[in-house]
Amino acid sequence: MWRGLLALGVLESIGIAAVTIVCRRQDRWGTIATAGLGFGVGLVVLTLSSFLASLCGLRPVWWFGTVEMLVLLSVAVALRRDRLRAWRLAWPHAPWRAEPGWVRISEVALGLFIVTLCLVVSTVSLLEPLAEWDVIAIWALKAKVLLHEAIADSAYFSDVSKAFSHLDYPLLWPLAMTWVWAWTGHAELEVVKLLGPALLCALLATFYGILRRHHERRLALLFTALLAGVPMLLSQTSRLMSDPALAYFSTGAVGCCYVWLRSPDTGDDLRLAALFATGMLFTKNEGVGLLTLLVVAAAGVLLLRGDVRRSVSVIVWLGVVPLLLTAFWFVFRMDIPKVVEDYGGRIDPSYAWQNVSRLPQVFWAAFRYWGDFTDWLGLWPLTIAVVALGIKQCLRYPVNMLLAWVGLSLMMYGYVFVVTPWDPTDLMEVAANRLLVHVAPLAVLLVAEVTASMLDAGSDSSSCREAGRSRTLSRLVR
Amino acid sequence: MGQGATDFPKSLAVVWLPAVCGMVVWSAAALLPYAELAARLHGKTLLERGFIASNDPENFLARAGRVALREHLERVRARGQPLGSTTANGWVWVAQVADRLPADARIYVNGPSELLYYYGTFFWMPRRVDVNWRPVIVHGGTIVRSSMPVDPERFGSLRDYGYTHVVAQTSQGFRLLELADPIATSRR
Repeated sequence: MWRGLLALGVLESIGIAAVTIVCRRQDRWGTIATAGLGFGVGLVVLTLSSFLASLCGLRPVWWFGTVEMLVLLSVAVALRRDRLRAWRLAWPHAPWRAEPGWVRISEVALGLFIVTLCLVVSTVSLLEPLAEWDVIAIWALKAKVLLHEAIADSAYFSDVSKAFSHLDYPLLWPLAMTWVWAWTGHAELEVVKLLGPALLCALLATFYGILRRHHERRLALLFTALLAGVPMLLSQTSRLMSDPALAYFSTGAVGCCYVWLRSPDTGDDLRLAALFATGMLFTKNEGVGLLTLLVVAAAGVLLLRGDVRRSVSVIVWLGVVPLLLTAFWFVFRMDIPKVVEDYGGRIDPSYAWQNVSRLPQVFWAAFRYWGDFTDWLGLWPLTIAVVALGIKQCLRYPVNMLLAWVGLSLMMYGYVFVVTPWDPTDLMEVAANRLLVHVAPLAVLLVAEVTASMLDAGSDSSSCREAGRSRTLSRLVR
Repeated sequence: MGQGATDFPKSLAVVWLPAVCGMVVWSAAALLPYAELAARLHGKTLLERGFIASNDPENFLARAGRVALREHLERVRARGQPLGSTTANGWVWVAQVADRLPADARIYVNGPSELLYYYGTFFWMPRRVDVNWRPVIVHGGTIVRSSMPVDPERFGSLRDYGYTHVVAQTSQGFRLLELADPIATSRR
């Protein structure tokens, strides 16, 4: 187990070093959010470099990432020495506003609830070996291939007799498993499950950090607890499915972009969003669609305000940069036979027209999954109620970007079921709830933003991190 | 954000916030099945835990997100019929066999079993696993027509294609036959 923990430690260190390099003002995010963001950025940096190394014929080895970590930590310390010192000095003196007793008690209760939930789910996750059908047949299989042979020497990616494992699926999650196995020395079934709890904690920490940037602690904790309690998210994370990984990268990309839209004085948040967007592209094929929708939504709301310069920034950082960073993967993917499904080729409206008769079937079946209490409690009815009741807030900048992204994403998945080569009812049974996992954290963020607006706990809040940072910086300047 | 507070009727906060808090409190109930599952898994061997983890009728995590499957299982339970799990039995069998196979084995799955083929490909890697000696496309939609079952009396011919073992799903369960052993082959 300690080898697995070391693997995660190196991964997290790579991420925190990269976040420190990317962000000029890291103090804005705080310790919890930095840890959460660090996991995702670490995954992106480590898996992309491992992929390139594997293309060059290098099999995964523990020292590869360790050297990467040492180099990045050295660069981070060299580049951000002054900022790190200021952050360290400011941290113990972070402003602590006197709160009424019931507020403190509710914050402690919510914090304990989230920690307990993470601990219990992590315990189960670590007690169960790899057992989920799709994990074994797709993600862990790819990880084992990558452990045994470098991509340069592997026949797997052109072996159509293994098409059941979707040869063209992206490699971030398998390479994360391979990284843990590179430390344990073989493809065991238990230690690799450490990735599940780590992903859950990182997702919740990132979500909390995004909310905390502009809201009070109690509101951030309440909605993080709401997200933490969604059964579908917990089950899929615990089973090491790749859908929560895509949900995490989507949360980071959309959330950081949203934070940047609200306080665009530095490019830190947009650069972080770009790194998470890169993770979206390299985690699942759906990431391509979800990222396209993010670019459309963010650039669109900026254009509606007449802000052409910033909409170009969105297109460059969230469209061009992630594509450039994953260019090797997409070039490599072009040669992989796509024999099972090619949704990219089905964007053609003629497919939708041919299958338009499926539309009512898909539409009504969707309610069966949205409304399922066992998997979602009341999350989707809650989201629909918020949008209906708070439509004016939803249409106001920048919440309209969140609304556009969540709405367009749900429509895109509806379209997928209309044009799928499979029977849509059968496919929805196995895929609908998993696809909803990708959107769920951002739906909770949307609910949180509208609720904050209702409670008038928005950007003028005096105890959010933005306000706290201003006070800390002004004290340091004095 | 703060400027739009009046757009969302504030009176709704009386209903709204309790609903959100209620969802959070209700989600605490999720801890119970997790705790119960942890207690069932604790102290068991790897194979026993793999069986529990793959057992969709018995493990709520294995059927998460599968609305129709849950309804089907409820109907079967209501009729009082026994609930077994082919997946759980398959997981245990394939994991067990992995320790018995020689490093240079090449395995032929004799029949259109997704479970044996998919799980075998993962658990037995780097050993090669096939359902057809010719290169064919295999995925969920093609496994029946892509697999090429061989008559047991002709298992010896698979040796010519480089296979060392045959796996089959029989009425008695899964069977592993070593082709190098002519006695076992002829008995079969």
